[in-house]
Amino acid sequence: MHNSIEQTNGQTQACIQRLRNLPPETMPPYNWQEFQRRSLRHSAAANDAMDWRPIAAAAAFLLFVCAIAIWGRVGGGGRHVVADSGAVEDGSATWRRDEEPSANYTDRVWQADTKGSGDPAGGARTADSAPSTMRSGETTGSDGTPGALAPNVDSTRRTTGSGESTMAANRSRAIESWLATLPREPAVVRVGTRAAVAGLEDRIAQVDDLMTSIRIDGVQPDHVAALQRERLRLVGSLAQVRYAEVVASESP
Amino acid sequence: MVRLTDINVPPDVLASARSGGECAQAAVYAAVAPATFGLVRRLAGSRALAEDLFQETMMAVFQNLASFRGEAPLGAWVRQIAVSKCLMYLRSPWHRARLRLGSDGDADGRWVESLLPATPGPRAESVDLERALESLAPTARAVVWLFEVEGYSHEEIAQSFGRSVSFSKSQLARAHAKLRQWFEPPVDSQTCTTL
Repeated sequence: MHNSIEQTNGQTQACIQRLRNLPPETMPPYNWQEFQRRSLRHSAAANDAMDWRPIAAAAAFLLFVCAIAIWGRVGGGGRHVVADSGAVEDGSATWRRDEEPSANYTDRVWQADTKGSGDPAGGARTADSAPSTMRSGETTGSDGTPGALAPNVDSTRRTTGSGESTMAANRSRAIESWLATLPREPAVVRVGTRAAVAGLEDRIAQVDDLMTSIRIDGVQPDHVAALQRERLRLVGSLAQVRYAEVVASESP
Repeated sequence: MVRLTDINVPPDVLASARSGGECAQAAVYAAVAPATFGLVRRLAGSRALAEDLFQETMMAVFQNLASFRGEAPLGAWVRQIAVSKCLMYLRSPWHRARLRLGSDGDADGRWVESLLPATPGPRAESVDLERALESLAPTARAVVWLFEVEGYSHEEIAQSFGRSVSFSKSQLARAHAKLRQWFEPPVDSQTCTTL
């Protein structure tokens, strides 16, 4: 036995001594048979409780499988569209904006595009709102950067003739080849971005159909050149939107 | 009357009990049960709670009897199990919440004292030591019993409670003070009046 901390008080020592003199044994509440009976009852209760574990695990697994199935059904295993405040009015690209201007770069690009091909302000807005890397270049894309591949609308509008038409077609192909190098669209996209991309792709397809029709009907160089310029502008806008989408998806 | 740590059983009985012999297990139970219940009764305070803890302790003893290596007396091993069960209960959130309901701030169980008469009455030799022990808070009672009677050190108590050594020392000092109050003769309080 060790000494107590407080040994200064005799009363404390007396208390301690009395505690130590207490009988160490107390009659147990029940004998061996009763202990066995209670132990068996306790074990049975524990086993009953354990029987629920596989059932709970199976239920959890079933719920998990159902959730996966529903997710696959609703999500289609592909792209999810996150709704925002915008709305697409029709497939030919009329983007209904709310009252205040959005700071979203892709929306601004889309507004510029929907002003029409003949609107120089729209083209200027497109160029102004684009990132500096995309505004800098107007030459054909030899280095593969989006800035080098982005179309300069003013210079495009100044070009005339079949030579310019061929040049526009080459630039369109260069931009499309650069677009092909971009990563796939993310699984979750914004409605505004997705609508802009889909609208631009639809309009490019329309322009392609129109050019095919004109070529079948008879070669009209002015019309083809105008359509090539329009197509170049659309492909450039698509490249800008996709580039912005890639940058946004990579930013935290 | 022997203490739990002094209890040992013959090796052949112990071997038979390990292998599941019912008679041997009954003999082991008869050997250790009284002292085990005495210890649990001191630590738990109430008899109903002590019976539950005693049942759990003895079940753990027989479930783990095969793992007993025999390096120490059987009673010491059983005592360790009993103390662990009791301290687990004292440290349980349910028990703490029950204490908190009755006392705010001082977790030493004023609710226990509130159940006792305001004036402990005649405290001299007629005082019941068991009652004095029960008047202590559960934690303080466990600390004072483990330290003064069972011979635990402050470090061992602190480790068992998962607290610091200072916790054990302060609980012990507080318990001593309360026990002294029980055994001090009543002093007639006289008011001093200045003329």
